[in-house]
Amino acid sequence: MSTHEMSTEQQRVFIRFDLSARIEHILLIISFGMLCLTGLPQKFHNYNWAQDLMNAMGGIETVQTMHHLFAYMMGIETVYHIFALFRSIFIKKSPNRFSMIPGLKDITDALRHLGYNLGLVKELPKYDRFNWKEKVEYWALIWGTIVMFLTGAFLMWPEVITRWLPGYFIPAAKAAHGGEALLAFLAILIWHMYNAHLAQGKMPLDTTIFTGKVTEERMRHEYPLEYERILAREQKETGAKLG
Amino acid sequence: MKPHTRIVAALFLVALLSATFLTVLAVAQGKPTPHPIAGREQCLTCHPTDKLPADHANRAESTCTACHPEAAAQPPTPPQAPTTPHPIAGREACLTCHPTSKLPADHANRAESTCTACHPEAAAQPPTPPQAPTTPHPIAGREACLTCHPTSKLPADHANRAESTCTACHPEAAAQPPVPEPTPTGPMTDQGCLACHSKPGLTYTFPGCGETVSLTVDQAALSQSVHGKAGITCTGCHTNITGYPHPKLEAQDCRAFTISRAEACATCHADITEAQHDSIHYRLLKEGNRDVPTCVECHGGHDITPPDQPRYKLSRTCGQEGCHSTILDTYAKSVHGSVIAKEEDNPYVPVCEDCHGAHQMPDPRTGEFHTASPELCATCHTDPNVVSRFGLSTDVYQDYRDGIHSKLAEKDPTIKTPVCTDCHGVHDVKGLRKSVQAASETCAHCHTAIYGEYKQGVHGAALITGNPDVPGCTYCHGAHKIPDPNTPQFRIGEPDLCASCHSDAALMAKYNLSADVYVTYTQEFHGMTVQLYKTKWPTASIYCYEAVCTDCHGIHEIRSHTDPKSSVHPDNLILACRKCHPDAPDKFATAWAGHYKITRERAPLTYYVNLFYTILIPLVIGAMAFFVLTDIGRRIVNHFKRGKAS
Repeated sequence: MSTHEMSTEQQRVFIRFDLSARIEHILLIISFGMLCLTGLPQKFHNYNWAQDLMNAMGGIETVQTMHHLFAYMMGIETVYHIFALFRSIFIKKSPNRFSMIPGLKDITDALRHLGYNLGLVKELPKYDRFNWKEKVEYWALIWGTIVMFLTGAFLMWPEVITRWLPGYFIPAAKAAHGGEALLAFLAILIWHMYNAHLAQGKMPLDTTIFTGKVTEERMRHEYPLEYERILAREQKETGAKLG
Repeated sequence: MKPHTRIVAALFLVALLSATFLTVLAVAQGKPTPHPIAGREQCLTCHPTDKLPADHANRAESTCTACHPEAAAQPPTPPQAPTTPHPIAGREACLTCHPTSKLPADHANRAESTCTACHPEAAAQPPTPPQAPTTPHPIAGREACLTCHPTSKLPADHANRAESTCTACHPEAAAQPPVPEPTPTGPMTDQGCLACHSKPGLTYTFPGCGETVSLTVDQAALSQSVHGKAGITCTGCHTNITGYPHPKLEAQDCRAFTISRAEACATCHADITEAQHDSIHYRLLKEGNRDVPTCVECHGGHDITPPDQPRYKLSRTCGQEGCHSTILDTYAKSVHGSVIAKEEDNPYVPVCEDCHGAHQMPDPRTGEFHTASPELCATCHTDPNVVSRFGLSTDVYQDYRDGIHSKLAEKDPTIKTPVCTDCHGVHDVKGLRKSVQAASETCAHCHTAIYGEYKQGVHGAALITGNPDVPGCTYCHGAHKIPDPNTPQFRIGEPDLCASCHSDAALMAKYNLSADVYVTYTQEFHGMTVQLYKTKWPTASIYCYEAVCTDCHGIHEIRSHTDPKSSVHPDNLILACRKCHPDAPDKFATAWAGHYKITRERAPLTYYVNLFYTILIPLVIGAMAFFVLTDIGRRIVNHFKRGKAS
């Protein structure tokens, strides 16, 4: 996916995310954020803050309509993501097409990172294109989206669902929808906010997801395996050209 | 003596002698005084058989006058006719003045009826009475006469006479005075009036009806009356009397006289007279009903005392026999009347005139009176000084005005809505608070169909057996501040209304019902939405279509969920769902967790989903938070290490 450009300072800049991925992220920010904003107050409707918030947003019906609209938005984004994946895997056959697949290395990386934090290991593990933290977040999102779409559909069309499933699936779906929502919200709040905004070298904001660009220094530092792979591939390509 | 005087004397003597002789001759010749008499028995009274010829003995009854017809003829000149004819009946009466000692010897032992047989003039009306009294004064009985004419002033032979005899000879004394004697020249004084009107037995008979009324004035009562104390004179009221003789009364009967008396009151009490022209009594009077009261029926005549001392006084007058007695009986048993019947001066309960007015008394049967009655009640029931004494609220009036009954009437005055008295009673005002059932039955007078539905439900069925735990009409609708039950606001308040009992754990336990119904309701979509709508009140008056209690359970006819007729019975529940979810399949109703808290037994799937997230969330978030914290820690450590290194 990533190609290279030259920065104004003549420092080499790598393109980590293409426009399509950047748009996807913006769509996710909007839909996820709005779903949290319109959904969580419904879960916590017994609390005054939730009631005030919902009334401020135009009342329960408006909030519910908004929730449905942003769910559709997220659904469209999900469908688009699947298409993009297909394109990446089967059409473009991108070298990074399986980079999000977790492996054993991710577990050892996580343990080593933890060990490093606790002072048990001297060096941070060397990461490839997506480190274990990013994979946790991605797969958490996938899991969450599946649960939320499924249970959300139960709540949105109970008359349809109960044609095939017993009625008790509806309250169960509601429980799951609320539980998963809270989990997703807290995960984003803690994991994503920390890793994208507060982690080493990211404060106040890692702009890469918006610009798509990452400096050579950061590549070397944060994604050394990918960096090396890119350099190796480039040398091979240059060699082939020259040769 | 002169010779001719002698001759006259001689002639007189001769005449006297001859007269005597002739008389004796006449008697001897059986020339009796004719005396109308019937039957031999009567004749024998004066002519006993021993004085009759021997052959006259044992003759038939009718024979005497056959031979002595003169005896039966009217006597031409009665022997010793009394000076004054005096109508008298019976020999006994005659003997009062003519004792046997003064009668001829043969008059002794005569029959009762015989006196006037020979002395008919005695029975005739006296042409000129001896010593006619100066002023005729109708008086009855000798005792009464003696009051003014003591025996000491009477002729000696008048002593010891019978009770009825005075007027026998002095009939004028008993007659109505035709001509008054001392005609007063100046204004009438009370003393002048009372000279006659203090005498007992003074009466007047109305010519129109023959009704006799006493003219005697009770001086004690008069002096104690408001007028007596104020020094109002007799003529102050009896303005038509200017002297004696009195002018002829125009009134033909007692009632007409009484009614005409009201005019006298008007001379001083003009404002009150004016005011009572609006009264129902006056209107009826003008319509020709003479039985309605005028001034004196309520206030009295000579004995007028303040009508409100004690306060209950006038009410008793209103409730006297022949007037409003049944109403007073009812009133005396009411919450108002029962108080004042005991403490007649209690200022904190209304008496008749407090509600009906004293003089400007409107017709209480009119629509205007009905409509205005809440204001009437409010005069006391908004006054903390009055109703607080009885532990009553002063808010009832304003509450009523804010309620639908009053609001409806305000919008359209032709609508008949209840006022205070329609629920509480008119004269028989009772404390309705004592019984929810009684209150509900009162509503049922108008809301009959709804009450019928209500009785079919669990609440109504229990209420009519006297169960105090269930809500009656007023529990949900209120008594005075009855809200319109069709407003969005009422609808949104329904779950709270039901919850006021159905969240009471102790009460619900008594009937083996769950007290969680409200909490569980607010945890699902319907309840959540309703709860949120409620937070926007009253600024947003949007109708909330989300289901409230009554949408599924029914409004008045709420049945137990175990009752097959219940709309929430498992067999029927889907029908309730389909009211809002028309496409709901049969299984849809089971989506409803049934107001029960989520337990492993009742809703296992939901229970395990909840359990799953109860474990997963702290686990995941905890792990993430742990890593973040170690990462922050490492950065801080690195920061200081680098600082040391440089």
